[in-house]
Amino acid sequence: MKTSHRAFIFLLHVLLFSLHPLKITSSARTEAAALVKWKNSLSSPPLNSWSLGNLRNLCRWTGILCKNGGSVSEINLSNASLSGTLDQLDFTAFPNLTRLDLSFNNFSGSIPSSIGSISIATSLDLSNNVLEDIIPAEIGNLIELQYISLYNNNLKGQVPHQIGKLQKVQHMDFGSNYLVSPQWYQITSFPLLTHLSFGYNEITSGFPDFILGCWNLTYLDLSQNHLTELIPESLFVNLGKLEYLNLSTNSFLGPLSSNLTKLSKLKNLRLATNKLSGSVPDIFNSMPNLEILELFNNSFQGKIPSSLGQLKNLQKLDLRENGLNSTIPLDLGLCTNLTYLALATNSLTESLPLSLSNLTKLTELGLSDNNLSGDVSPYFISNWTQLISLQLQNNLFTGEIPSEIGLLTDLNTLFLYNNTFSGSIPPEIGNLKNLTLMDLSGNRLSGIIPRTIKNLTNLQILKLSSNGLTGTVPPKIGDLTSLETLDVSTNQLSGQLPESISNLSALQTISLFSNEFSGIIPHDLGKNSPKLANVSFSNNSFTGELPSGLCSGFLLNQFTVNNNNFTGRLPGCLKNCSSLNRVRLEGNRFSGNISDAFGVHPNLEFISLSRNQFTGQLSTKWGQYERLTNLQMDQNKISGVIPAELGNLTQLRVLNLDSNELIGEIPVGLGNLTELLNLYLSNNQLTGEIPRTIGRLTKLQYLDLSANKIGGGIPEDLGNCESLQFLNLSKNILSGNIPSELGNLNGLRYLLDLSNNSLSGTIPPNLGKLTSLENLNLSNNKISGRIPFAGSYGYMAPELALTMKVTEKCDVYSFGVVALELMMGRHPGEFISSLSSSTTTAAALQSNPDLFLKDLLDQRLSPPTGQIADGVAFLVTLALACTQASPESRPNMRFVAQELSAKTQAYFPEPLGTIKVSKLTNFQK
Amino acid sequence: MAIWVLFHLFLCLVLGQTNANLEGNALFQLRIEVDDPENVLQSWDPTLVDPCTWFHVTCDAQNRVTRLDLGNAKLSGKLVPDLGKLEHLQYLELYMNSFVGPIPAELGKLKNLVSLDLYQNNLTGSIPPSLANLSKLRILRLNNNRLTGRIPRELSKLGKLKKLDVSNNDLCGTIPTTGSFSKFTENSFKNNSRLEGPELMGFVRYDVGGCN
Repeated sequence: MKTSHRAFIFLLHVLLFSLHPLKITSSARTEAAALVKWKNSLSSPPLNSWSLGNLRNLCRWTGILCKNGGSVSEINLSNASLSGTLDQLDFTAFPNLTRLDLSFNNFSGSIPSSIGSISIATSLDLSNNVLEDIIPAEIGNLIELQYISLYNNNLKGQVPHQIGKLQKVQHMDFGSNYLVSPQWYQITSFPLLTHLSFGYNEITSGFPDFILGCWNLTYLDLSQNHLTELIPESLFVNLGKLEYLNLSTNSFLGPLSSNLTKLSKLKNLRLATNKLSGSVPDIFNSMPNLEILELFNNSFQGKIPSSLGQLKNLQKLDLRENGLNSTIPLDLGLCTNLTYLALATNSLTESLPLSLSNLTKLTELGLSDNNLSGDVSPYFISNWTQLISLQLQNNLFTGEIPSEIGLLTDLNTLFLYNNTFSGSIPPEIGNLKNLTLMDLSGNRLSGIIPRTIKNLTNLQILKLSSNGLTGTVPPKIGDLTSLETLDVSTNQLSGQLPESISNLSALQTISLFSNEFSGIIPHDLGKNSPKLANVSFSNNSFTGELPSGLCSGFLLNQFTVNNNNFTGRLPGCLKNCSSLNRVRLEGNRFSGNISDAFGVHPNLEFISLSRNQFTGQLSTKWGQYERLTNLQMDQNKISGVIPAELGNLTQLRVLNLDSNELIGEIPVGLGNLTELLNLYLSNNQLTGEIPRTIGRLTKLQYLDLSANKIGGGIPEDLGNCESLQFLNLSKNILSGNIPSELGNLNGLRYLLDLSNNSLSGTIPPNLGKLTSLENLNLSNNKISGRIPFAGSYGYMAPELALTMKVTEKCDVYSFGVVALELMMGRHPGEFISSLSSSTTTAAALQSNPDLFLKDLLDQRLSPPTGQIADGVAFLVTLALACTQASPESRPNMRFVAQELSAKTQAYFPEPLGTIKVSKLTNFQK
Repeated sequence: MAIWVLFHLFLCLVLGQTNANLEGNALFQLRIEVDDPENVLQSWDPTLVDPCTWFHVTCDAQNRVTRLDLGNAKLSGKLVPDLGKLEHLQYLELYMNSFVGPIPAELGKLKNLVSLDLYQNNLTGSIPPSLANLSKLRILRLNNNRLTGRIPRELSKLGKLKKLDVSNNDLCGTIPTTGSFSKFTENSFKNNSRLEGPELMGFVRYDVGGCN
């Protein structure tokens, strides 16, 4: 059967060939063979007609056109679902091919250099494939080409300079490849070229000069390359036929030339995302055809030019992300064909000109992130009924949201956040059936959340936070079946949450924090919201237990319910939420055993269970939460030991286990937590000694180990904790000396408390270096000896020795002693003590009236005379004033310094030898 | 075109992240403004319930920021006026960093401030007279900066001021001597080459030049 079938086919072939020997030329046969050979190299091509058996119909094969002689002249296989390479396509077999179009297929591999054989081709389109490697130099042989497109492939390497030979080309598109710059000077200009694109390649500076000689260009796209420096002036001068110019997303510098006016035929000008600076030239009156103008993301400053108002055809104006700092010009209201107006992220000021209400075709209006002010008049809103997106956020707008907002029934996005809008939210907002994103947060809105909001069934994001809203969450909030984010935080909302909130099946984020909500959370919340990831009920007055199904989707990420009156146990599903990142439960009345309440949470960064009634023990599992930065469990009833595994939490900044029932020793491994800022373990039953490893915590600012049963000595290593601001070791059973190394902790600021221990020995003088310390408590120890002070005994003011209170007047006293010592040539201690029996120096000297100044002076020197004698007498006068026994009588130091440099005291008429010391005590302050 | 519209929308969503806490907002402005090579401000996420869980920030029981401990944190950049919104702040510790620019006059709104430590930075400009409103201030250390101008006479009315250090700046004029200033020593003022001595009581009037 098989054999006979084959024989039949063979006979049929012979018959066919013999029947039409004259119609099939040898070149057609070669062409057909080449096509079939290529077809066979492709993976399952839908080219059934391509078969040698169908040779007779070659000119009717899919995608094939012939010339009169029956030879293939065009191959048109655009969008033919072809995959494979061009390697097996024998280009030499097609001497009459004028057009090759393989666009929109899945051809890979490289472009064969034999492509240079189709030398009479006028059109070559290989665009939208995945061709790679370099463009062969032989492309330059196709000198008849009028159209060439290699757009959107993966071609790399230099643009071959041989393309310069394609002098008949009119349309050349090399866009969306990875091509780099050749030596551009090797490429001459193309006299007939009208369309040129090198967009989205890796072209670097400098500018391809040949372009500047292509006088007939109407379309030029060099966007998304790496061109720098100035845009060449000759581009504006020479290319006067340009209708489309796109130089976006390069690094062009400098101001925009006013020669731009020469491009008077431009319809489309895109210069966005460059480094252009200066002001936008006010020249648009000479470019009447402009439809699209994009200058966003540059460094333009100054005014929005009012000549933009002349652009009657302008549809899209995008000036956002510049430094424009004018008002919005009145004339912009003349551009009545505008559909897209983006002025966001500039420094625009003042209110919107009323003329903008003429822009009735606007679909997108972006004015966000400016300093715009004034009301948004109902007049605007009622004219902008085509709006799809209205973005006014981050400005200084005031007044009420006009009720006319309900007319914008096409509105999809409404962003009014961070302004100072006041009044209530108009109920008409419920008309905006197409709204998907609404953010009104950060205003001064008051009143209730309108009940009509239930109609917004397409709403995905609803943010009303940080306003002054009152009343309850609307009972029918559950109708918002598309809602993903509900944020009403920081308002004055009150009452219970409606049961219907449990119906929000798309809900991912619910943020209710900082309101006045009360009552229990609806029992079913979470059960029907499997995507729920962020839950915040913080800072309300909620009561009762958390719904058991709250985390039934196991996707909980941020879970903050702190500062409420929640009771009972944590939902069991918490244990399965493996992406848990942040947990705040503090300040409630939660109870239950936490030993086993948590599971595997590799992303957990923050957890606080503080101020609850949790029991149980710290599981060793806590050591696995390697990203944890904050672990707070203070003020609970947690018992057992601190697991050594906590030493693995190397990212930990805050560890607070205060006021629990912990026993055992402080793990030595806590010394590994080198990022730790706060370590609080006070008010537990901890025993053992303070590990010396605590000294490795050089970033530690707060250390509180007070009120435990910690014994042993204070390790001197503690002196290495150089960032400590607060150190409390009080109410323990510490013994031994106070290590003098504690004096190195010169950042100690708020507290050093070693009280209520059994410390002994003396107070190390080094503690005197803690000059920033505000509170020091060493009471209730066994410390003995003298309280150290900064200074030397022989120069100490009498009250200092008595009170240990260092004042400025003590310094003044010491200065007086030194000054006297200088004059006397010996320590004046005896002299001063002879005076000290009286309350004032003057009184003492009056009791010893015969002491002469000359006898007091250094006897090794000859007595001074003249001006020097005056100076000596003056200095002794001052020194005596400084050593007054009563601090109040001493002058202050600045005064002394001034007197010494100015010497304003009375001149002594007597010779030195006759001046009595008692005369020198009448110093006037 | 559709792509650009979407991109714009995306930008707005990212940049326009609102948040509900005024104090957190104010602090976040500081994070935006400063350069933070050691990531000490990494935990400062403005989307959180409050800033009380941010490291280096301390709150009272009512979740109001009372302390900002950012001494020696290798921060640089300008101080933001928004700091003046932290009306319950008691300790503003920004010493030993590389902050530049002026001391915001808005710090004068911090009515509860006990300690203002801005020493060892590169702050310039003059000492804002508004600091005289800080009636609870006990410690004011502005030393080792590049502050210029006069010491505002109004500061002498800070009755609780225990510690003052404006040394190592480029201040000028005369040192006030009245009120709380009567108890400070030369050390508080040293190394200000253009700062003249205190006004003398009844003797010599020093030339108060060098301040223009």
